[in-house]
Amino acid sequence: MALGRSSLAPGSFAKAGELIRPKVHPLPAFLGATVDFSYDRTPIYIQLATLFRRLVVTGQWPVGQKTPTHEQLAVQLDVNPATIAKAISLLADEGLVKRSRRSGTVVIAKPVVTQAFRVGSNWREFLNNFATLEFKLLALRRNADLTKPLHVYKERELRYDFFHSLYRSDGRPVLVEEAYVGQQVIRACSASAVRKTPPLQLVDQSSSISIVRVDETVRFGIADSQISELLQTPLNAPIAIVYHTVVGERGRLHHHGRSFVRGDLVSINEPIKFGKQR
Amino acid sequence: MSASRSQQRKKGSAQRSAVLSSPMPIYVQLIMHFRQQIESGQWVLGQKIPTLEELAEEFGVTRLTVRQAVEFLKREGLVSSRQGRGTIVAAQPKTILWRDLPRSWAELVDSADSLESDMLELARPTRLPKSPDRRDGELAPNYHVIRRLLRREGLPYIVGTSYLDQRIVDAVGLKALKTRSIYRFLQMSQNSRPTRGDQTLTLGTAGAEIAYLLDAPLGSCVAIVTRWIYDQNDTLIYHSEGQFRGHFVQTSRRLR
Repeated sequence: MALGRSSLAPGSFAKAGELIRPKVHPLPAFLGATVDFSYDRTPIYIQLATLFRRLVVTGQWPVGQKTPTHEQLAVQLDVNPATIAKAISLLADEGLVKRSRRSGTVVIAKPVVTQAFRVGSNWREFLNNFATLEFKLLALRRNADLTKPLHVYKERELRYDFFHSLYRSDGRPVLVEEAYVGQQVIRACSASAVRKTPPLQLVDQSSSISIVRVDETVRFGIADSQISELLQTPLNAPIAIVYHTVVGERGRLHHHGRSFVRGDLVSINEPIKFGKQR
Repeated sequence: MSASRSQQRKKGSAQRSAVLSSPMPIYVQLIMHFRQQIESGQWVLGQKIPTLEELAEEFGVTRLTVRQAVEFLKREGLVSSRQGRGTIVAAQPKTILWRDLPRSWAELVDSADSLESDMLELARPTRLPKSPDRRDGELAPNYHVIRRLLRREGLPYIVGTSYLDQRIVDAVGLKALKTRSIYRFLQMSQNSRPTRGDQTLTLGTAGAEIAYLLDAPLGSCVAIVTRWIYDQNDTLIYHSEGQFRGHFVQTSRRLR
């Protein structure tokens, strides 16, 4: 793939002291000066769309106002006007801008932000997320190779089944889950329950194990083509990757999974804990 | 992990399928893998690592992507290169790559000690509001606004805007603020004591300015952490919005 100014490598970015000097211009002049499309292997029009979307989200391109012309943007960003047009058309498809021959491109809406998935708090509250979402099993693989979990455990079961599932809220995809569930849980479930129940609920409701510990870690990434297709999110959009392990007696690993959650649907809210001493 | 993904990966080499397997950007995955090579001694201290071309070939990625990862290790001080001598392993990683976001006041105070800060007066993108949005509690009459770039082990880590109750700044003195973290600074106040707080985390993408400051790819994921700290009188004495480099930041909890 052809890249823009490929001479700019990460190391060529400014060092600490340079930030203090008035070398950095305020936005939007800033925009053209330092945008480096070679850092990322994503096509430039997608990177541009991400950049423009962000300008709409932050209000730097206010709703109801015209964006700079494609020619102005092309000059400022040092890219082809056709590439700008391609990026703007992505935003038009998302309903954020409207293009017309007469009045140019006008911002018509900010992306809708609703928070449908709550990370954190406790096990019960976390499971409630799954209770309110529609569950669809995409694939089930018996006796799958377990990938290495993020959290510690003492021993593993002999066999795990792999579940690939999609969860929606009001028909809108929220998360994709990849989960491994141990045989102890699966054997005690009916075949239809296994296909119809979210894996974490199978684990929670299982009478054949007792849950001693559940760990959760959230990391952040960007949607690749497969994830963005399943979650109907723009390519390169932020996603949260939520890792879970459920451990039973004797440190036995019963469940381990990771969920890719649409970044715009995730929020973590929690109190900052204050101890007794200051 | 899914069927179609594993099929895709089968086309690459065996190495690639073992290492590059998640929606983390590839250069991030390479950084994680290379660090592990050093940690496990596969890449020996003082010895040369494979060339960029060899690594690119091995992982089936472009040379540029490998270079991004190696540059990152260089800035961490784990490898160093000299003209004509290749890149050698310079040090064992001393810190864990993935850092947990603090969840208590004590963790917050401790973690801030390991960050170096640069004031960003001139890089201010827009005029900042004089006081934060009120959430609950009482607002202080005035706030001292700071915009900073914070680094961890020399790497850009957070771009943050903080609002501090002006009365605390006046009482404790600006000089103290320059020599210690904001959280230690807040603890120095005689009249006001940090008593409760909240934080939220949402995800965003790095716009032009943030990508530049954090030295991260444009459009890469940033974690936006917003904090509110109140004193014993329920006055909002501190508010901050920090944009964290999304990679190598994580948040963990025990649910049960």
